Amino acid sequence: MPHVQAALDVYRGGYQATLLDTLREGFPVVGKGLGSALFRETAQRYTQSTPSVSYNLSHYGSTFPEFLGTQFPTPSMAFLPHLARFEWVFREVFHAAPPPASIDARQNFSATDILSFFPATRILSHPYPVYPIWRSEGEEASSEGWEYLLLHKSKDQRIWVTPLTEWQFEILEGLQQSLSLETAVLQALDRCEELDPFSIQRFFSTLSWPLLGEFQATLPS
Amino acid sequence: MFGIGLRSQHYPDFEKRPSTQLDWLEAISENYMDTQGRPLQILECVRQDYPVALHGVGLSIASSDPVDSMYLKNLKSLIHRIEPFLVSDHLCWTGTASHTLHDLLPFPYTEENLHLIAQKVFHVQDALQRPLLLENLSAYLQFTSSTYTEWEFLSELVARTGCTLLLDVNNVYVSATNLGLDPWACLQKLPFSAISQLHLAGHVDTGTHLYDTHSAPVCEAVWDLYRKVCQKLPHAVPTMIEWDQDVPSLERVEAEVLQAKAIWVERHADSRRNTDPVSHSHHNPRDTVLPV
Repeated sequence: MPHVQAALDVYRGGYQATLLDTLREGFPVVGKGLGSALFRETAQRYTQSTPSVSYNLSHYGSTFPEFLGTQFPTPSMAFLPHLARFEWVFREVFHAAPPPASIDARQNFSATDILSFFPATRILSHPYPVYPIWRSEGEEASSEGWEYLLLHKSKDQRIWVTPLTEWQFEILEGLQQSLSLETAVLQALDRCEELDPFSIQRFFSTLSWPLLGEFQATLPS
Repeated sequence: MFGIGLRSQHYPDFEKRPSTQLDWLEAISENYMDTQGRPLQILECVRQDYPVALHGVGLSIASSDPVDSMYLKNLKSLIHRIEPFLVSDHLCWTGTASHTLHDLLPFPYTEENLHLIAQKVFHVQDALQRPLLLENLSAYLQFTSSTYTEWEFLSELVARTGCTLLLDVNNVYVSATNLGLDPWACLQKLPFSAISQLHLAGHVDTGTHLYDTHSAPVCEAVWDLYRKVCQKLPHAVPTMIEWDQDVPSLERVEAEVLQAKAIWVERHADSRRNTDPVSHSHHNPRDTVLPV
């Protein structure tokens, strides 16, 4: 029979190992970037300060990106919490419902419509380009400059990541805030002096709007 | 009658909808309760071809806190969507209302806990509108305050609530060995007529104790115990191979299933017994009735 202390260690060790595995699985590129030993040390500090409160393990780690910012405050590692945030949001999109099968690919919309985003549609902005780092699984180095991204799903559960310009992000951000198309575009025009109507038209024609959300003629009650 | 656990490592296999030796699959409820993404899509694809049992690890029926109402609501939604033929969890607690430990934790087998858990089993069965199966744990310690053995406790819980048993043969072996007991002597005290499902799995010998890892093939001692269980069971019972860590290929796990099937057939050579109640036909699997 195992000694009582050894038996208790089975449970104590099991809890830590489970949370560590969860973080490793949820933030694989961050893990690769830090290396196994440093990631484990960092993750252990997180698990000791942040207990799990949900029955669902995939809910664990939502504050890990912010935690990383406190652990690695140097300028060279400033991208790390943003990379972790991207990995967390990607995971949320992975578990989100795809667009309804019945969605009309030829959906028309007018300037006064608002767009209700589907749960799998997310926009992100970072002061550092993290998508190239994530896509290369940590092989590509961090650089400077703001990054704007659109994540969404197609009906077959595939996740698409589209880099955006600042004004494209501004328009989508306005739509996400339930501004009408017209208002969101005017707001972007106000903020981005170089923006021209042709660029806006081209943006609207290339986006797969039916996969992002549903256009509604009036504000939801 | 023989199945395996649905694991993400085998998602690509099941997406191709291959012909297999499997009669059914078991899905971990929590992996599908809070997702609308690919895991649920795969489960629904599998459900088109196989009956599915849902097996939980988070009900925490032995906690002194009430059953999490959101957990029950989400489980009920999943049951409605998947129409499982069995729904099970473990006789354990997994944490408190404010802190989840994500482990299957033992507790003292006392009259007070028996009463508490029985009330919660009634509540869960009423909420889910179906009987609940409860699985025996792997034990690494026992409580001096226990007034029942695990087997007496399980038997009494079945008698009081109408829940049935998911007998994990490997867990019996691990617990009995760790606690210095005879596995078969423990098993014989269970109400075999209340067993609705069997689990078979592998474990690791650490030198000081057996550790229930589900990371290895079923060992010969557990196969021997399973032979004895087969002989004593009054009816065919859905049986599955649990392989959760270091998961090998689908073909390798199927090979374990075939070994379990061979043992069952060997122990029930009498052609009057229905040794293969579930045909391999995939026609109308939602209408397939497995013995419970």
